[in-house]
Formats: sequence, structure tokens, C-alpha cells
Amino acid sequence: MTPPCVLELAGVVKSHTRERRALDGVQLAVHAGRVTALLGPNGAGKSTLVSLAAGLTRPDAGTVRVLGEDPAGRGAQALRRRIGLAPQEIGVYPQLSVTTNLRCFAELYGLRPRAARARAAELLEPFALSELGDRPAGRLSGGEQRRLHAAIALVNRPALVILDEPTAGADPSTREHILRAVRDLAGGGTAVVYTTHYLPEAERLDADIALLEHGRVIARGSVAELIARHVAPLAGDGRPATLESVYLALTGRGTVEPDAEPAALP
Amino acid sequence: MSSLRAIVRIELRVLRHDPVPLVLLIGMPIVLMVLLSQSLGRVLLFEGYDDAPGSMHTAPGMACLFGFFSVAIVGFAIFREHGWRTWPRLRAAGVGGRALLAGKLAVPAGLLVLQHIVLFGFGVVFLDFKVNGEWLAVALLASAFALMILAAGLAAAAVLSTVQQLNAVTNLGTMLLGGLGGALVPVMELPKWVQPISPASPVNWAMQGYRDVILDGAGVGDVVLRLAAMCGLALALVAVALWRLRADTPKRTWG
Repeated sequence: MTPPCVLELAGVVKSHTRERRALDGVQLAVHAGRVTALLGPNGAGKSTLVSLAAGLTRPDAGTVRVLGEDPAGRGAQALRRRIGLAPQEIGVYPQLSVTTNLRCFAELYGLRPRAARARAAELLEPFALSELGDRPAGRLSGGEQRRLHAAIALVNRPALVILDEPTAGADPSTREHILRAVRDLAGGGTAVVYTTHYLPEAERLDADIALLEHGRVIARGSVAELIARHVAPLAGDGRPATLESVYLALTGRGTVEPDAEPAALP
Repeated sequence: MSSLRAIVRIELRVLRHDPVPLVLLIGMPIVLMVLLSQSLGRVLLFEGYDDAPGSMHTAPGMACLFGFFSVAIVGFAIFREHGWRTWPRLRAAGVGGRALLAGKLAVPAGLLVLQHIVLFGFGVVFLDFKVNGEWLAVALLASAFALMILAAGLAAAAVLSTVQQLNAVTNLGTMLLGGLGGALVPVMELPKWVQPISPASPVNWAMQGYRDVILDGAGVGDVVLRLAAMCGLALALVAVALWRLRADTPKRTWG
């Protein structure tokens, strides 16, 4: 039986300028207990899709539904409290300690101070922050800040978690912690939207793939389905085809774009 | 309501870790009151107020001048969320626009109240400050002035797009409007050519109201027009803020 659909986009169009559509007729369904990896080159529309799913912006055309409701609609504040978002850029209060950051956001999501404190304590261990609870967030290393940033997205025990390039610039240890947390989330029934440029991460998460280019979803399915559909099972060098083979075949580009500017969420 | 409370708690936590605004709003004006009150006493004597200590000018003057710095404090409270990249998180958390703005205003409003109580209280206890008119009129003038300042902070955050603009406009604006409005020295002591343009500064409206009440013994009824002018400007500034503030438009900060 297909798990319930948590996020659904139908015919979504969004333009930031008159000349170009950031999203152009996107169809997508994200199910409970699954990780959906949004892949694509910079400018493909991933962060725009994230903003729409989180209710931060409205589509020009088409519909976005989270748990059957419009996340940007009037009175959607209760719904947005069921969504966890880690935007692409790290967003924490630098003077406040790790624990206080988690408590602040838990309170913002409606938890009472005592419950917020308890929730903050729960999140320290899975993100390897237990030893850093009292340290101001501004004095953490980049990887530690990134783990805190991801942990904040979970303070409200969301039904839908949206992680926009959560491992960008992260060291292998941080990446490992984040991937483990994502797998645990999906295992617990949470729907996860995960954008990344690191294709092996999507393979390790056994994610449903949505490959975007020029604002359109150009391929969807599991890694195995995409390989079967779009490339030969063995690459030219005799090694088994991977998601990267699919990506290269469909977009004609490499996957690592280290000089790319991160796109700020509107 | 819980969102508003959560925003206020965040603001208080940030203030506790960075108490510079508190020192700026309360500590500095006390120092200046102590330094300037004697000379301002001579100025008041020259104006014909025989029995008026200088604190009858410096207490309201410093309250107005340093109260005006709250424009920057309100503006920065919004800009720093962009600088720390927490703005999208607040919006994603389902915090409504009204709760967000009210939360951002609550702590500066509290600081303004505290500032006025401390400055006037310090004047009464240590500098022979007294009010010849009604204390209620003083409280109403302070409240209207605070409303105007908070609204100006919101408007500044809405209209300005970079933190450098905010810094320059609010700090230079405070010194310029404060000096022009008679917060440092009475308007009569300003150069002759400046005196006619002094009423262009909203600080002038508050200071003239304070002088009417504190020095000339006026009551609430005598300062109604000045109160209405300040409240009217506050409403106009709120309208500008609501018109121009776009939650989905990022501000350029130090990042």
C-alpha cells in the first residue's frame, strides 16, 4: 500500500523575473516515511520548490498542498508548525548557546518552556551536539553549526521535513550524522525533502529521486528505475551505472559546482 | 499569543547576551545629565526661570535624544534576523506578521519605558528635578514620543534595504533631529536661522510639550495638540511600514 502523500505539487509555476520561470509546471508527490531527493544543477528551481513547500511563497499557478492544505494560505500557521525547514544557509542565533537555540525554536513552534527544554535535550545526541550544549552557536565550527541548523528543523517533530542542501560544505563526520538522522526520520514515518548536489547521498538514503532542470522535473523514480530507464546498466568503463550516470545523461553536466553561490530563500 | 511570547523571549535572551542597547539608552544619558545639568541651569536662568535646576531641561532632553536611538534598535532587531539568516526560519515556523512585528517592538518599548522612569527618577532623586505641571501630562508625552519612535523604527526597517543605510540614517538622524529639536540645548539657544526650522523635528514637538508641562506648569489639556501630532506621525509611519515591509524581501546585512 502506498504511504499517504504529505506534499503534493500540481502544475506549479513560479517566476522571480518576467524573463524566466524558476518552476515551470512541476508535478511532485512526497510520501510519508520516504526521502525524496531533489537533484539538479544550480538554478534548476530546487530552492524555489523548497520555499513553496514550506509556505514561504506562493505559486503563480498550480497548487501546493501539505497534508491536504495550502501551506501559504490564510490560517496556515498551524499547518506550518507541522513542517520542519532547514534552509540552505545556516540560520542560528550566534550569541545563544546550542541548547538555547533549540529551545528558542521549539518555543516558536508552540512548545511550552519545559517541553522545549526537554525537546532540545533530545536533539543533542543524534546530532553529536551533547558536548556542545552550552557553547554559543557563533563559536561552533562550520560542521557543528550545520548539525545544529539541521537539528533545529526537527524541534517540532514535523510530519514533513525539508532540508535544503544540509551537507553543503560539511565534513564527512557531519555528513554521516545528518544522513543517519535523515534515515531515522524516514524510518519513523516522516516525509523528507532533501536537496543535494552530492548524488551518492541520495543513493545511500534510498531516496525517491526528482531531477529538476530549467524549472521542470525531467526524471522521477527510484535510483534503480532511473538507471533502467535512462542509461545502460554498465557504464563505458565497465563499472555499474550510478545515479551520476543518469544525471550526466539527462543534464549533460558534472555534479560538483563548488563555486556556486547559495541561493537565499525569499 | 505563544508566537509573540516566544519572539519576546528570544529578544530578551539576545539582549541579555548583548546589553549594549541597555547601556546606550540608560547609562549614557545619565552621565550626560550629570555633566550638563549645571550649565543648563544657567541657560534656564537666562531664559527667566529663576528656580529651575538644569535637570528640568536635561531629563526630558536626554530622554528624547537617547530615546531616538531606539529607532536604530527596532530597525536592527529586524535586520539582524536577516544577517543571522534566521528570518526564513521565523516565517517557516508559522509566526504571523503581526506577532513577529509586535515581538520585535515589545522589548524596545519596554526599554523606552524603563529609560524614562530611570532618567526622570534619577533627576528627581539626585538633580532636584521637579514638574511644575501635571505628571500625567509628562507620562502621556513620553508615551506618545515612544509610539512615534517605535513606528519610526518599523518604517526605517521597511524602507531601508541595507544595514549600512540603517546605521547611517538612524544615528545621524538622531543627532540631527535631537539637536534641531532642542534636546541638547533649548531652541532659544540655537542659532537664529535654525530656530524657525526646529519644529520640523518631531523631537521639538516632544520637547516643547515637556517644557510647557515641566517649566510652565501646563496640564494634559494644554499639550493635547502636541500629543495628537506625535500620535498622528506614529500612525503615518506605521502605514508606511505596513505598505513597504515585505516579509519575502531579504535585507542586505553584514553577511
